[in-house]
This record gives sequence, structure tokens and C-alpha cells, in this order.
Amino acid sequence: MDASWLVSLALASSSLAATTGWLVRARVRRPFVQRIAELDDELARERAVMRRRLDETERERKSTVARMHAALGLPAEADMKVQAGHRFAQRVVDRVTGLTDVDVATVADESGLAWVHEATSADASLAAAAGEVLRVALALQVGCRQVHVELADARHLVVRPLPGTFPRLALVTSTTSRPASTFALDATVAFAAICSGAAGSAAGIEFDDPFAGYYSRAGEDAKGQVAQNLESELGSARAACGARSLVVAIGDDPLAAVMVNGPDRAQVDRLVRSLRPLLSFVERRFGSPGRRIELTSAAGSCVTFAPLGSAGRFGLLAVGADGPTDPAIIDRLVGRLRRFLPAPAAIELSPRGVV
Amino acid sequence: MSAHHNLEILLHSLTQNNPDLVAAMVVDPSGRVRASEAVAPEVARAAVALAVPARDLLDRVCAELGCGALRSVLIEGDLATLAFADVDGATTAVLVGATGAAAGALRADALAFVTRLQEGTRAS
Repeated sequence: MDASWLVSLALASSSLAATTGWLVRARVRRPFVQRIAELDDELARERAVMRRRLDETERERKSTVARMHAALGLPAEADMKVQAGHRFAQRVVDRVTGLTDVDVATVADESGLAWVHEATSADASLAAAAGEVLRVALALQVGCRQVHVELADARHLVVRPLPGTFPRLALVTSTTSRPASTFALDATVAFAAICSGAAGSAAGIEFDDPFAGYYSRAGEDAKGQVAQNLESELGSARAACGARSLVVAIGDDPLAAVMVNGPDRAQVDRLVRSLRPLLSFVERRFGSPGRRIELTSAAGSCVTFAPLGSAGRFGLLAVGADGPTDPAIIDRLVGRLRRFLPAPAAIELSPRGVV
Repeated sequence: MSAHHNLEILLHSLTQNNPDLVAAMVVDPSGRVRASEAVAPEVARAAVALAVPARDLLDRVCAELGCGALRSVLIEGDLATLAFADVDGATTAVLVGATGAAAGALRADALAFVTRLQEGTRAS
């Protein structure tokens, strides 16, 4: 036996062993490979089923969101995620807190609870006022763009409902000496509308003026000498102050009125019944008598209510076609009208008909 | 002017011409009513009876959950709303709201009342 024969034998035996091992491994592996293939198929089937279910759920979610948007009057592409939590409110408040004339600003919901951090109890009062404005605006059923309250201590509160928010939110600012800048508030409300996805939802809509369409007849409301004098004074003052309509109310009822394209009688009642308590609400929370309250509708017309005297029973309601009536003119008119009214003590004693 | 008299004046000014409030009272930790103003006394009595255990529970909840010292708590029900506000760490101002009163208004009243009370106490 030579060496070459031994090498050939070794090679042959090793190749035989390798072939045998490969055959054995292949036989052993075959069922596993088959099982893996079956599992792959099963996985693919499961994956397809899950994908179909996911697509269905996504379609269902989109349909639910579209229904919610439609119910809230929001465009279909509005992003509702920004409504979650207080970040939206904080972003809105951050837009106005840097302004020099704004003392305090907050965002509150209809129940009067602030959606941002309250540093003092005054913030809570501000939020409560905003909540009350939202409730009154809803009760009055007029598209409310802004409510402005001026207090005797020169504080100004401006409440702006934020469009496209649910629950309904309002931005409220407190300033001293003058109201917060209209331009800044417009910009902030526009920013809020973009955040809430309501930007452009009102584009192209012409709002009906809720305080228009009624013309009063002379002497319709004026019963008694004082009322006639008041009506005469209102008639001469109306053109001068640029208001469309002027009403002097006693309690919740009009005492004398000059209406040229103004709110109808029922609406005047509603306005007086709503604005007077709203002013009292703010007075109580801020510890200062109110000088006037102005409600601006979405159409731009504005109703101003100013109490006449400290007795609290008489009030002047002025309706302006385009924005609020000049406060200085209202103040002068209030001063003139006070002369016609009986002293508070006399009011308490005299029957309604005599006044 | 005594502290008690000051408290009564503040409570009276809080409840006067305030249609949102049915009752307002200040209760100390022993359950003694330091002052109260109520349109409906029976509601006030019930609120007083529950004020001390409620305050204990709320203090414990605040402590357990790491909320710090209790400042105010609102309880909103179907028919009425209650607001609790801390006065001095132990005494509680309890305000009972009328049906339909805004929760935020009640809480604002409670906080404003406590602030005025604390200012009055500091001044005296």
C-alpha cells in the first residue's frame, strides 16, 4: 500500500461521510422547512387580515371625525388634536400676555374655569367672567364677536369667544385705562382659529345683523311725562351720537325708545335682561361699579348698555351699526338723561305707571 | 374692628345680590361655624356637617397624590355645586352654589373671598 492509495482512501471516506451527513441533515430539516413555510403563509394571511381591519378602523375613524367636524361646524380637514389639553389655551394666552397694556389674560370655558395656570384669585374672577359671557351669548342667540366691560376704576375687560372650539372657550383680557388692542385681539383670535382648524370656516359667510329691522313709532313706549321727555331727548341725541337706536329701560322694560332699524321689542327685553345681570356679575367679581358693557355681534353691530345712576334700575341701551358708539358721547348722554330721572328714593316710592 | 366682624362683613358682601350662591360659611377644624350666610339654612347645616370630614379627606388626597397644600376644590353635582377653599391651612370656606350656577364663578367667589379675608387678617 503506497501513500497515494492511502490519501485516496482518506479522501473517499471523508467525501462519503460528508455526503451521508448532508443527506441525513436534509432529511431531518425537511419537515422543519415545510413547517416554516406553512407558518410564513399563515403569517402572511394574518397580516393581510390585520391590514384590512386597520383600513376599516381608519375609515371608521375618519368618518367619525368628519361627523364631529360637521356637528361643530368645522371644516373636514380641521385638526382636532390641538384641542387636547391646555397647550392650545396656553399658546393663545402667550400671544397676548407679552403686550404692554394687558395686565392679565386667560382662556376659560363655559363653566368659568380657566384653561391656563392661575396666578391669583383675580385670574379666577376673570375666567368666571369669560364663562358668564359665553353663557349669555349662547342664551341671546346672537353671533357674539366681543364683549367689552368698562368698570368705574378704569379697568377694561374684553372677552373674545374663540371660534371652532369645543367645549366653547373664550379669551379674556384685563387692562387699565383702555381696552386691549383690537388689532392684537383680532390676530390672536385668528391664530386660535388656525390652531383649532376653524380658519376660513366663516369665509364668505355674510352674517345677518341681529340688532336690525325694527322701527318704533313715536310715543309707543313713552307712558307719562318723564318718559316723553326722555324720548324727546333720545330723538335729538340719536343722530348726534351716531347710534341707530336708543332705549332707556327701567328694570327689564323699555321706558322710552327711539328705534331706527334697531332690535325688536322682544329682543330689547332679552338684551336688557341679559346685559344688566352680566354687568352685575362682573361688578361683583371685580368689586367696582360698571360703567358700560358693549356686545359686538359677528355682523359688526354693537349694543351698549350703560346704567343710569347708582340706583341700578335705569339703563341706557344704544345700538350702533358699525362698532360701539363713542364712549364719550354715551357718557354725555347718560349725564343728560339722569336729569330727567327721579331721585332713587322717589323711584322706590312711586308706582311704575307714574314714572 | 374684630376679626369676626370683618369675616361677617365679607361674607355678607359675598352673598348679597349674588344669585349664584345659596350659602357661604367658614368652618374651623373642630366643626365650629365661625360665620355663615345662607338663603337656605337647611342646606347650610348639611354642608357644615360634612365640611370637616370632607376637608380631612381632601387634605389626605392632596398629601397622598403629591398635590401639595389644598387650595380649592369644586364638587359639581346635577343640582348644585360646592366649592371648598382653604383659609389658613386648617379653616375652610364652604360655598354652596345655586342650581345652574357656573362652577367657575363659584370657585372664583371662594378664592376671592379667601384672598380678601387673608388681606383683612394681615391688615389687622
